[in-house]
Amino acid sequence: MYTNIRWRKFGKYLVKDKMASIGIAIIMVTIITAIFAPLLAPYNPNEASDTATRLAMPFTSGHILGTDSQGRDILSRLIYGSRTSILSATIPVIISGVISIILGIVAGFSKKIGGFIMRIMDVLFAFPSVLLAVVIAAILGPGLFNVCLAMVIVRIPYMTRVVYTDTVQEMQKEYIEAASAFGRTKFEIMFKELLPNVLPSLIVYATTLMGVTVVTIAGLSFIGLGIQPPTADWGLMASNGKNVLVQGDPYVTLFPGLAILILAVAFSMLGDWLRDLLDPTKK
Amino acid sequence: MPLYLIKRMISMLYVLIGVTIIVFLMIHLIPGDTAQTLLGGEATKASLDALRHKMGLDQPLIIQYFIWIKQVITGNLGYSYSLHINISHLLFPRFLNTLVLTIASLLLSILIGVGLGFFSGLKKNTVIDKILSALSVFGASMPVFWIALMLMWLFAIQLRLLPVSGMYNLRGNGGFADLLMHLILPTIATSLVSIAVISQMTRNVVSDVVNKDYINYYQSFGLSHYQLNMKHILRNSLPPVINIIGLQVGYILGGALFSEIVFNWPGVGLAIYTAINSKDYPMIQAGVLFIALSFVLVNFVVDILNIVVNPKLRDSNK
Amino acid sequence: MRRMNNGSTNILEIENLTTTLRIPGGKVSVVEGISFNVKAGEKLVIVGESGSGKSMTINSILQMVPDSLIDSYKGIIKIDGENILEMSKRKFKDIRGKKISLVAQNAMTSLDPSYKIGKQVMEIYRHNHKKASKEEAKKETLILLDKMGIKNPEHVFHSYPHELSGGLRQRVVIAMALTGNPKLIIADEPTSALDPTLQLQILDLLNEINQKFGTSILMITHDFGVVSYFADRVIVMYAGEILEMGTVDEVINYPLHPYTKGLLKCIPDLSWLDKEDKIEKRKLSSISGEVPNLAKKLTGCRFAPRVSDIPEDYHESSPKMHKITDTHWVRCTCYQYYLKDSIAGLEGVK
Repeated sequence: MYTNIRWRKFGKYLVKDKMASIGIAIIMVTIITAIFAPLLAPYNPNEASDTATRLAMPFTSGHILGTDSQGRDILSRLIYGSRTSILSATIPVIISGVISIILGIVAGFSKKIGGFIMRIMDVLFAFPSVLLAVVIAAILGPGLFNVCLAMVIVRIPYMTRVVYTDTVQEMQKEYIEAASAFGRTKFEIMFKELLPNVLPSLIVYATTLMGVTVVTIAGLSFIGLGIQPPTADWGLMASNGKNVLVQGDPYVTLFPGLAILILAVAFSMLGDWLRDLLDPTKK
Repeated sequence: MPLYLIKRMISMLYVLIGVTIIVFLMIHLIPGDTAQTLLGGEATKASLDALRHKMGLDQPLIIQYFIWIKQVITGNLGYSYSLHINISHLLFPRFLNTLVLTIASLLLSILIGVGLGFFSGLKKNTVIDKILSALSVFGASMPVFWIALMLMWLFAIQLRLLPVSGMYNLRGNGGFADLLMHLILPTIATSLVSIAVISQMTRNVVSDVVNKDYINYYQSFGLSHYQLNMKHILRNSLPPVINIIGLQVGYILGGALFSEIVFNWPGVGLAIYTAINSKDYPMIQAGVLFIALSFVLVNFVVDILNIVVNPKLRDSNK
Repeated sequence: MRRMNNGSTNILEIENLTTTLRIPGGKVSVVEGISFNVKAGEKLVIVGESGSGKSMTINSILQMVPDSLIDSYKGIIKIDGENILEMSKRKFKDIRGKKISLVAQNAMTSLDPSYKIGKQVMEIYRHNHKKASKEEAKKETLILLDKMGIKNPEHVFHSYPHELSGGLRQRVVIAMALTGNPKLIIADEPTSALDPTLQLQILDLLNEINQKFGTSILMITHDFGVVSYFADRVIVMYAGEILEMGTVDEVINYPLHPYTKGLLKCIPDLSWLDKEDKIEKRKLSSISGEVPNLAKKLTGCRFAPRVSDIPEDYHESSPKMHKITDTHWVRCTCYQYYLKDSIAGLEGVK
């Protein structure tokens, strides 16, 4: 019943909230672009076409966004780059969300284990998240998989804390007491009673984190720790533009950076909307 | 000494131990042999063993940890693989440079972030508030390295208003004015995200405080807006805003990494970046330790400040 | 000056006040055409349910309706002979605190949690007495706290609000309201957040202030128990209008309007406090129906929908205030229904 009403509200809220509709539209477009990249891209993203000049300006010689220093079409590379961006934004956050919900609920449920888990989280909090990601990625070595793994580890303390705080609050409510009075097992209380009540705020937080993750992973690529060339990746593309930027050509950097920014903003708008919808108290 | 200070120091000590363990383990998780890396491929087994013994690498891990901690405390951060110098000699001056950049960025973030957020919070739901809120959504999602590059392109390359990179002009006299000119772009790039986040959150805090009964009550006595805003609204917004700023220090330290790389600012971040590219693990380790330690220290200060400005918290911690 | 010495001077005169708010999709008059006076040294209590317009009445007097809500004030609000609705904002600021001040509703939340009590009372004191030095303000604050029946003023002076009990905080709030020696105190349900024993203590304190300093008090409450304990005169409000007005004796012992009668049945009896057997409480009753939605255009007697047993022709189409005695007034002729047997011969109602 309860969830039904919530889901019905979804549609209503979406129509009402323009920002959210724009956010969702951007994310949908990015996903569709990622899936149909080979159909949409006008050129091969990794090779310069025979006719192309290097560092062509936007809107010249058939290259809408121009070409990079190797004569590759920037638009095509952006289209292919959406693949790594959307994957690396969502998957690490979902995985660390699943891990965090278990850690957070267990920590909130049992004081003994909770103290231990949260102490470890405290230590991880002592590292600025970007720095922690850099260190882990440096240890693991470059590559998409390793960067994603680094992001999973980096996000766990933050998400665990959100779940933990909510769980501790929920634990004081009567329904938990009632559930244990009815003889529910610990496992049932944790994952049948607590889980549905702490999930909404985690979903909200996770959505916001996806935007942050797009930016962080692009940063790791920029440093050279992320996706390796010649793969088309937005962070890597922006990084490649660094050298020609000094010569006065900003476009190679401009467009991939804008793409990162817009996708991140879209996730943040979606997160704001979900917060209003699922978690109205924390406006 | 008040009890809360002692409590907080104990928990900091324990976080410090955790941080050093993680940083220590870092170098042991890396594939490859330290002695081999140091001496190169042609080293004989005897010379490798000798070096291992000298460095304590043949000891159990726990002993090695204590040896390392002892070295760190005495200011010995090890030997750089790639630059072949004592890391402390390089990193201490670098750390001061990072400090200059992060403190400048933090000050800018607080000044503009709190200022705009306070203004927006007082004028909630007006046109100007909505414009500022929309801008802050973009600001908060800004990739630091990208905005750094864009600022560099616009102000240093196109308009030639500010220096492209570095900390001092090579042919200049190295004076304070020169430093300031070089500082402007990295500082803006580093603080933009924090300005947006701080202003967003300050706005929410302030608009909450504005609606409190006591603000309403003080208003009933005909207190001036200035007195209400500065004395009561600002004061009561302070504790949560200090928390927000404390969290942002982490982002500024992270953002400074990118700004240092883009603008070639000779700080710890740039050192870490160079070390990553040359696989100079002791250097990475030392750089990370530096930043993590300063972050722990900042969090400690923020917690203490928070207790000082919040009478209720002070009592519950007594 | 002659008027000032007169015992029946009006400190507050309200004539035909209508307060209109802007709401999504239109305007709503939350106070409509009310008129009443508060005399020097008088204790007037406005009683009504939530939504009756009593809070909006005092918010209008203090000009504290938020700018984002207010559409207009119409009528006259005279404080000490000056119409505040025609006054500059600056000038009104000078009147606040000095001639008229508010005792806030909830003392638990009406003090700034970040400052010590002394600092807060001193701030208001120095706001009202611009020339006062710090030492003077401190001395006066301590005297004032002492006058409020606070046993250890020095200790309270150096305490934070969260360190004090609800009763003490309410006394501090009253002290703040008195810093400017106002002629009129407006008390917004000053006791509703307190437990019954403290309620009586605070009412006694306000009574004492009224008697010692001659300060007029305008109080609003939903509680007829407070009215019977405290008031000289009573106004009964309902849906933005005054339904009945009179001395406490007239309204409590000879209520005329069916709404007043209904409210009186709902009094929680404070007298049980004095009795040994504290368990015995009077059973509370309630009035059927709900306060009307002001956003809809109301015509006729606003209380008519809630008294179905009164035939419609007893209600006036545009109800006026009817004078019963010099002090006792009642709106709408519907009150005559219950009196029809005794007054039918006198007035010849249909």
